[in-house]
Amino acid sequence: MILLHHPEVELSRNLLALLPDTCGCVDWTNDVQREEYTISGGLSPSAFPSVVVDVPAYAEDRAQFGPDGEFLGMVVVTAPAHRETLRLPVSWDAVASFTASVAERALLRPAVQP
Amino acid sequence: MRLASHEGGGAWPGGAGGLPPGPLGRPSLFGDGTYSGNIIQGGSVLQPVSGVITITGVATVAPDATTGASVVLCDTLVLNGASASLKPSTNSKGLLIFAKTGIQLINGAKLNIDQLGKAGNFGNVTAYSLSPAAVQRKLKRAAVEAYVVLGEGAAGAPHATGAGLTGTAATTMQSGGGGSGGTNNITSVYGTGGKGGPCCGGAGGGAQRGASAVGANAGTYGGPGGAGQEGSAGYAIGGGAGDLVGSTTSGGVNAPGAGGGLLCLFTPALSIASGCIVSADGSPAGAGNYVAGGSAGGGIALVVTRTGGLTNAGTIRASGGAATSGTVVIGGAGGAGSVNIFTVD
Repeated sequence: MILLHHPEVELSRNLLALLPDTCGCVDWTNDVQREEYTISGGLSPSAFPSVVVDVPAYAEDRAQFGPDGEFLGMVVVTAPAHRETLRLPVSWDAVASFTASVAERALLRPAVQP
Repeated sequence: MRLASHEGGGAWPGGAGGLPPGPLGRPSLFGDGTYSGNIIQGGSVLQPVSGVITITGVATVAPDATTGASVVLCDTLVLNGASASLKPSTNSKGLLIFAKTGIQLINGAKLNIDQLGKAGNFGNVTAYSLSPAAVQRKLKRAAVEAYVVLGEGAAGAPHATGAGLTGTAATTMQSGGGGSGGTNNITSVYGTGGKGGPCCGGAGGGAQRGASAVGANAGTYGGPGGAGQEGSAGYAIGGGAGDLVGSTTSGGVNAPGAGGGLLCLFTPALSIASGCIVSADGSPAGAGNYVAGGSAGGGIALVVTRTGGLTNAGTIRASGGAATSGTVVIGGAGGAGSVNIFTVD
């Protein structure tokens, strides 16, 4: 979990003041930190603050469409583990609710084997 | 004949106590303190009182007919209250404020060029080049021209096979890229976001549905937004945000505006209280469509003060437009623009 922080944004300063031990931080105004994050393939932010979180793999039902949008039916597919960016989370509780939710989803709908 | 005395400068823009504003100050990085006389609130031109212009409601500045930018020259500017805001009256190449003494935002006030950027390949620009001649004479040219806004903004997001992608975040003195539109067809290669320009964040790509739909890429340098494209069914497909906003199909919801614009504040002292916002945010795409278009990128905020002159307990930002939900597929968010703080001794 990474906080993408901008010191000129009040909400970002508020989140940084309560940064959890498990969360890293990238100060977007720090050239070195920003470059390291970007080079490592970090997700591009839309706004500050953003919190990048790990999302575990899970199974989901997905609608299938034909070439012109006609509905073909539903299939079960695996959404692979990935990272998502939470834009402007109002608090760390809001972030925790998201991470708890995706963790529970992964338990209830474990990834299917190809 | 006896002239009646009156307060607030009256017919003497920049004056005080009914007197003309002389002798004029010298040109400087922050202007000479005279008032440009172009802030409109409630249908009237606001006038300074003892050099202080106080905004308490919705106030606007029209773009200059020659340069296309909204430029204010004044001594002291105060925005007071949650209802207080100042922005361009329409899409503009920039909101530029030169305040010789200071700018203060208190009690929830807002100063912004949100969703009002002006698309175009204008090359690298400076606040000096965007100022009308009457203002240029009151500026120290070399000092102002030291701050150059990059003509080429960050890249737009590539096309998406599903949910739209977020545009690239800006680097220093650059606007953000536009987000891509969504598609529900995995063979689609359309709907890319456009790169930003110097005066507008990148436009969002249009959404797409059905293999027979074509086009829908956003324009470059801030716009226009990509048009929503439909195959053969009559779904509402969203266009991208931008200048101009991309068209939709079947009565879909248009994006509300363009990318974030260029916001330049040149003042020795800038004070922003908690809860107050200085912003150049990009527009989201229209909400509620079957497949959503891409949102526009954030603009550029440039602040130049004296050393130690910035007191920010609030927010200075240039956010990209938020990703917009569609009934089936979400569009991409605009990339974050840049906030650039400089100080001079």
